[in-house]
Amino acid sequence: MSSMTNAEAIDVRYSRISHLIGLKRYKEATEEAEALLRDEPEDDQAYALLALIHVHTEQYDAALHWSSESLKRDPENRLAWLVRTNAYHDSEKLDKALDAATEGMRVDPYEPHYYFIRANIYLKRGRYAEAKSYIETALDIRPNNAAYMASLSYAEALLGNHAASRQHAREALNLSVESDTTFLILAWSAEQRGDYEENLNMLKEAIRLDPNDKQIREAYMEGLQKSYKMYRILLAPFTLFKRMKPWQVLLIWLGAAIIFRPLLLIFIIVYVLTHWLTKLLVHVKLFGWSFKR
Amino acid sequence: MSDYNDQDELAARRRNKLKLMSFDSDGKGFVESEKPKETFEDVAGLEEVKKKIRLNFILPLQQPELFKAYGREAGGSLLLFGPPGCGKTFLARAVAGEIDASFVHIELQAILSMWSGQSENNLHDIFEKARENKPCIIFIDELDAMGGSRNQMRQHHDRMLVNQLLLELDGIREQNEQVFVIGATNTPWYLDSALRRPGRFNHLVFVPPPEETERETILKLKLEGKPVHSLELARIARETKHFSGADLEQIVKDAVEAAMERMLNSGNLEPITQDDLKRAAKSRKATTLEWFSTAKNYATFSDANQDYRIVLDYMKATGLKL
Repeated sequence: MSSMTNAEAIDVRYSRISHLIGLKRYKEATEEAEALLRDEPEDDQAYALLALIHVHTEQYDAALHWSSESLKRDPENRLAWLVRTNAYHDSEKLDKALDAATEGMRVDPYEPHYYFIRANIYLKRGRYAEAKSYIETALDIRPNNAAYMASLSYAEALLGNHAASRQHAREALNLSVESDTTFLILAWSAEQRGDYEENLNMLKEAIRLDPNDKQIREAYMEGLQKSYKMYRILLAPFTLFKRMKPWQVLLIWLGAAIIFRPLLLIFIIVYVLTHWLTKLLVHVKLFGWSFKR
Repeated sequence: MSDYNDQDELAARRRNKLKLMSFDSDGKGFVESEKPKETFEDVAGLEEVKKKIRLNFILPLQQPELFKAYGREAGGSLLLFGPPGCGKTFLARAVAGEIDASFVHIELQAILSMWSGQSENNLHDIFEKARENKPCIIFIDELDAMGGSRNQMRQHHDRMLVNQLLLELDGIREQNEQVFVIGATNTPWYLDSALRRPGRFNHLVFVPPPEETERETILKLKLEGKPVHSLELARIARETKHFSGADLEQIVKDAVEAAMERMLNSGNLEPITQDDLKRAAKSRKATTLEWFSTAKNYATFSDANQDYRIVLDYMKATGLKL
């Protein structure tokens, strides 16, 4: 290290931290980042890296704290804005995520992830056309990103453009077959198109790549449940409700309760029974007859 | 002591000439230090693991003619995996002690220095050095840091290092008798799948947390030389199911701290009591549980080759439910 300048030596330390994050060795990465901060207490990038580690470990408050420390030292630190946007998004503070994304886009207009995050938020809010437009911008900047392409497939599925959705799904798989996120999004897309077999296939790939991801595990178990046709039929009204406004749902329930009360009760009982029976079958299929006490 | 372990004079003389090589603090060059003194006798329990290692590593070297009859030669590679703090590193050192081999220890810091700017030539140099010092064990601790999945790697350079590792392992298989590679990792699921092909790390050995009697022995060892007051270690061992060796060490440290606090108040030498240990054990959770929870997910959902079936079997046998 003696032949290196101080700036080069610090760059090496950044890359060690980034590499440890890539290896999911967050404890060691934290130790490295803290050691760097002890030596360089005003280093904004070291704070941003520490914030990044905390996003990966889902400690969002800490991630926001360290990113703000970074931004105090350099209000235009790109990584800090990116981490901040992710921290707000992942902790479901979506308005704050949008604000942070706006700031981030100001300092780093060619970072496609901001467009991707915006698209995700608009997908959650049912603003599918806007979401699609943001994903297309993200893809303009980074055309080879499989997760973005999968999101475009999902947006098209939500907009009812099933042929385009299938086409983008194929393109996403051409770009990568080793990304659990891509497979998860493609599973949602397939489900939206009513293609339950493909949904399950995509989830199988996603869980093979990252079985430790809770969201993927839950989606996979749900996918297995939905492979039972009876459950799918009974689930159909609830899927429809999800797309309606709350007042519409309430009105339908009230109407059904008045007109077909016995039928409604039978439906609810059959639904609950099927839900638990299929859940049990899935559990037995995966874990055998062993239950946590 | 093992029946297979050479204890004759010749072996003792050979042993003196052997050396342990590890990296200097910058991870750039080798420094020689003493050879590991540990043998299997120092490894409490793990009988199945030791048996597998003897069969694949030690016996082919000690009785080559016998193994040649079965078409087996000395050399090869072994991958130790399991929860952190359960003695994988110690076990690797004990293997070196058992077979009178030089021991090259590649630790995380050395691997990281390779990632950040140093070339894959460094890795080649390590293997060359090992070939010059046969019989030799190359122990790659935290193997996942060097041999992670190439699909997850963004940098071309990172992928090159994995390629180099594959090349060296194939070199070992084809030319280098008496060069052994032991890898250890807590996260075998992150390894590049090419590393697991035949001739590379195809012997996968699960190193579980210590059993009750082993826990008692560990506690006894960790308390050795410290002031204690009529301890019932068997009881503490019974109450620390699934605790790793490192967890048990922490319990002893906590108990020592409690006794020292009393000493500060009383001014007298206060022994470590059963209560100190019991309280320390109660205040800690086995750190292995988190590992088992992750391993269970991989074993259940992502185990086409049934590599981690052994983990599920272990959990079932020990009643571990997560």
